Amino acid sequence: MNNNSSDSIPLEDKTEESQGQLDSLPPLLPRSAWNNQLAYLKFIFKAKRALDRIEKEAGILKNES
Amino acid sequence: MSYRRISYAVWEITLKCNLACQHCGSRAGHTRTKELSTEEALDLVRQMAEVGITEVTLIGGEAFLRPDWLEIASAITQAGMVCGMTTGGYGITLDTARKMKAAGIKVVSVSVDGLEATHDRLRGRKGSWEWAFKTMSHLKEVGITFGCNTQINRLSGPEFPQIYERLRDAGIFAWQIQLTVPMGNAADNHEILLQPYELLDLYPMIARVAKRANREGVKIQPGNNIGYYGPYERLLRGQGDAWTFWQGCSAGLSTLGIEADGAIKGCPSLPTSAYTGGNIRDYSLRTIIEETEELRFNLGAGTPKGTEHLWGFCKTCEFAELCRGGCSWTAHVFFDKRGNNPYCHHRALTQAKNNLRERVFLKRQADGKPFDNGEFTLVEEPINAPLPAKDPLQFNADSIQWPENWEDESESKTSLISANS
Repeated sequence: MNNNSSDSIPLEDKTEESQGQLDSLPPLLPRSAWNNQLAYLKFIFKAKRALDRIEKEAGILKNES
Repeated sequence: MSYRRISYAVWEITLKCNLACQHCGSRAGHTRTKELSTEEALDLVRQMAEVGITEVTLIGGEAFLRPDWLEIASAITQAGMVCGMTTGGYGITLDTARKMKAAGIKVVSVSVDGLEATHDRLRGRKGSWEWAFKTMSHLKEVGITFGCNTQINRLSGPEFPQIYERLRDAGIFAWQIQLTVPMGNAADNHEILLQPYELLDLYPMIARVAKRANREGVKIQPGNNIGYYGPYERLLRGQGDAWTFWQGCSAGLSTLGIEADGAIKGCPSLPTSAYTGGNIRDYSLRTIIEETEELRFNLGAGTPKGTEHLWGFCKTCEFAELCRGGCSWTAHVFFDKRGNNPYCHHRALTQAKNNLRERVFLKRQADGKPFDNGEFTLVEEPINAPLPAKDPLQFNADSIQWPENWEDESESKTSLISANS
């Protein structure tokens, strides 16, 4: 196929209801890269603040409407 | 903050293909030596459901060239997973589309990599553009949701806005975009790859198209190597949502890649030799996911392990802990190891602020196997240094072919971000 990618075109959440019927062992996926939720949130807030700054510097304004 | 917790597998069910794409990462064409039997494939379906996979996308090669592909699709559906498909679309008749619908295939992504001449050139077969659109019309007729996926490189990049218009008019619901990277055939045809500094002109164009797509109801889905913390990151990745931005490679976390001979990776794009955790003929899927480092390398974010692979620019970046070097596949195929990603908008902008730009050139050819890579050298140079003379495909803002009726559209930088920040 193409220059491959992990991405598929996902539909919205439609599968959860059928999951679990087959499982005898707990599912392994998805799993988080992060063990520490607090550390994760700290970096998310840091990135969000940095993006606010980057967009402001680039002259991109928030839509206040 | 929008967050959908799904896990999906992208499954190359055969390497056989009826196209010969210049950028094909898997160098598809002929079947692999030992592709899974029907019985083995159906058992793998059961195992995928058991480990928590909720969506399976069938790819190739060309998936429909495998005789039992509809049986596999039906089994995926019956196991409670969403079955999707990515296809070049060369040869999907109305009758085939009806059979796909009956097998439960819910969504199809058709690959379109340029306007007609560019697409047919890149895909190595005249008529492939025409067939892609014919396939879309067949999918529409039988009621299968469809989108497109497009490789962005120096051939397709200038045509990007016009490609969008054609796809919109064909009725796509979503458009997945990604940058072509030097894997497989693309490593051999590296002159078509964008240079890192060319992202400076690429992303304003993509952002302008994305704004129009948002207005016109087409969902832009950035691939894993798009963006990274530039001024358009949240527009592209979350339609302007203040909390939606790149959060690191998801290989082995929410993604699996499966090769037709049963090799299991954390992501279908990753090079086979360095990232295969095991073969489904030798171990259970659960064991490979739970126990092999190739499937676990993304665990440990927020600890020293989460950033120990970083080097070069990425090691010094303010987003290092969250980004973790961007797309592992993209970084690895340039430099034969992950952790330093040259295709980063934030990086290109930071270098430009310091009057620098980055270029890559080939140091070592790829071997010629599926999912292989060569190795490139990165050059950091003054932004106004002369560019190589023999490089006719250079991309810049002047090479973009804007549709005529877009001329009066504002290129305003306002209103990219929604009010919910």
